[in-house]
Amino acid sequence: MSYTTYQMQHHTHTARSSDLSEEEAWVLAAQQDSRKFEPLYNRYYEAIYRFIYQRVNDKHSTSDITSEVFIKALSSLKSFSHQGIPFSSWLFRIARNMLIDRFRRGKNHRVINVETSALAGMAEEAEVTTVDEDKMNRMLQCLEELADDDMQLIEMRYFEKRSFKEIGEILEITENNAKVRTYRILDKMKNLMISVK
Amino acid sequence: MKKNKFNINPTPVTPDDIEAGKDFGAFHNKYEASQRGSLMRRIGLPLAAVAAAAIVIVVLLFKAPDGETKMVAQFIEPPIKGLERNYEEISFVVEDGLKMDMPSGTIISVPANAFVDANGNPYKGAAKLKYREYTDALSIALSGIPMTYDSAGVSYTFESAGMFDMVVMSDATTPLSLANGAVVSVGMPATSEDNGFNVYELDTATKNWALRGKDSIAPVAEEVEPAPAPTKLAAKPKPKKEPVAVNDAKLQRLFNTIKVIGDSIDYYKNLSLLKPMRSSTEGHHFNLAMKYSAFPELVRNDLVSWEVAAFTKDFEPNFKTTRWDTSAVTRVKGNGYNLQLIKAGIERNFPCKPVYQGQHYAVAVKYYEEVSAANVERLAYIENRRKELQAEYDAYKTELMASNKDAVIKQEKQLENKYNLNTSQNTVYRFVAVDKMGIWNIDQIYKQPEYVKAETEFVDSKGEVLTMHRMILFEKGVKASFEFFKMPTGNTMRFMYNPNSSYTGIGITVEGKVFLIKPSDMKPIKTEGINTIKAKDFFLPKSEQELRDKLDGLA
Repeated sequence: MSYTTYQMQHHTHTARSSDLSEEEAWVLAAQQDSRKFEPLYNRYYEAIYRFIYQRVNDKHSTSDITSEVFIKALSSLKSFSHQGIPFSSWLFRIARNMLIDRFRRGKNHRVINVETSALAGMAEEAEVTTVDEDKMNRMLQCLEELADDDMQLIEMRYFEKRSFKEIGEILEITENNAKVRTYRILDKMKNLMISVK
Repeated sequence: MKKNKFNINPTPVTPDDIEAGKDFGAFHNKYEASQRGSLMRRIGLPLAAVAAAAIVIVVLLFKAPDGETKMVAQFIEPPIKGLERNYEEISFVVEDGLKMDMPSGTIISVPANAFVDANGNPYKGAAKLKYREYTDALSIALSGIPMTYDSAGVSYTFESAGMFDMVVMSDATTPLSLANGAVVSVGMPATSEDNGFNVYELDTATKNWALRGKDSIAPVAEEVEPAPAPTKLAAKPKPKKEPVAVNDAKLQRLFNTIKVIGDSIDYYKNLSLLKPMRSSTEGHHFNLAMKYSAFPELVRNDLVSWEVAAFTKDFEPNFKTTRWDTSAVTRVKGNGYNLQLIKAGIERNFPCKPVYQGQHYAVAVKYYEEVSAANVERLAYIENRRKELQAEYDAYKTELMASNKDAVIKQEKQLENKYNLNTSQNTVYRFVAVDKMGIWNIDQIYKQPEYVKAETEFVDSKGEVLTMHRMILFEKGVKASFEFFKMPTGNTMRFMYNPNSSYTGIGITVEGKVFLIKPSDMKPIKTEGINTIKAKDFFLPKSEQELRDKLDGLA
């Protein structure tokens, strides 16, 4: 996305909060002097840490990878204004790509942390009326079969409670596409649940 | 087909788990190392990294290097008359105490009823706090306060993280003393969090520094309690009318944002990107691991090579593969660059230019074009944003001022101070607990193993040897000043210095004539025999700033 698009986006959001302006200012400052990256680091450290922990389930690795994500972000910060997305989504993209790379190279194993309450919420949205242990197990069996891309959508939407807009920004797809694909996966899961004995 | 692995109801992450790895300082060091490391991996050569800039102000005063003769200086003797710092004077009422933000960012906190008169009786009424501080190499050098510390017969040199001089007067000539148990707190902004420093008080009776314990360190970001406005000195103190405090978060956010955006506008206006140049096949190329933030004009630091032109005088082809102790590039006047190569104390300098080799050239050109265009748009955008935010700020400020004018003005002033403090790269406050008025210093013993001895005489333009009083040297990069006095006999100055560093300095003759010492005067200095430095352009600086500007011009 060109810088012009980025500029246009900002002008269309006339009711933006001062917070966002402040963040923009800190990005600009950090682009000139890496020491001024601190407010951004402090603001997003926890979110990135949780994002990674959700996928590797190992505190030591999580700490190391979080640090790598911020190093990568600071190294590439000058290109940030070309992205036209919130800084947080850009960070999550970096984290996601870094994890994909690590999983591919066998440096970490992909884990999906799931709270049973989140499964219940998902079941509700999939219009599974009653949720008992048996149905929960069947749902997990179905989730086990999902492709990586589909799993990511489900994970972000139901286990991390992200909005479709944010999911779209992280996965580099439109908000609408994120929504459509998620509901398609839910449909697919419903069918799978019927077929799983 | 691979199956996804689930971890049902995992152990939750605690805030402690998160905080354990959250350390911006450590992260930033790692980042800087990664920037250097990636270059070193790319070029595969063992290159010496450029030393990071020192984080504390270093001020030294050397005695004669061999200790055979004594200094001729008096105890406290400012080297240039008339350039001593003036005291800042703050009137206050002793019963009320005082909390004051100084323009430098220093915070002074005086408790109520803290002073006694010459007879030891509690003092009440108006008083005047006189305060001055020395926080960089030049100001400490100009104070004339000795920076040596004698302990058990051994003399050590100090490096300082900040020094101040403070007295409280009941009238123009009568000093007050702190009551038993009363403590004045002085918090000085500093760049160093190093806890190896101690607090010393200058004992004027023994003419030596007295160790008084440790300072305490707190982050600058911590909220500073608003200070009341100083009252005017009056015979009969009137009760103060404190304005209602306004600590408005929106005002603060808008203020800081406008400031940061303003800095960005200046940055982009002054930024002139250097159009990438293709490397020549005949030139000699160096890929250096260095701090590239000093060269924002280069679009792709990670791909840059430094080219010394073919047939450059004194350049030998094997220099490219030599393992140098130091290899660094600096910008020189005009738009050029200098490659400095040092080995075993021998320094070589060659003009060089940043170039891109092979396919890196096309990558850099593409990036240059994109970034140049984006910067123009970015500048227009942020200028517009500043206008919008300024309008929002002005409207909001007017609204707030309608109900509490004094408090808004006060908050604005504090925000200005705090912003200046943060942008000056100070990261901490160093607090000193003062239980006696006088000169206090946050110091540690300075070690200088790489320094060597040398001896020089100074001559004027006619070649006549000058009778020197003292010389002060400032070392580039480590913000150090080194002060030396002439021996009682002879006309030479003996001094110590680091041959791998660059220096500027001040020479002062016994007649009080002042001249500047340039880096080019120091470069040819040899450790053997007696060197000669030609003194030119004598002048008498009228202010510290004038001298500072002249020294900065040399550097």
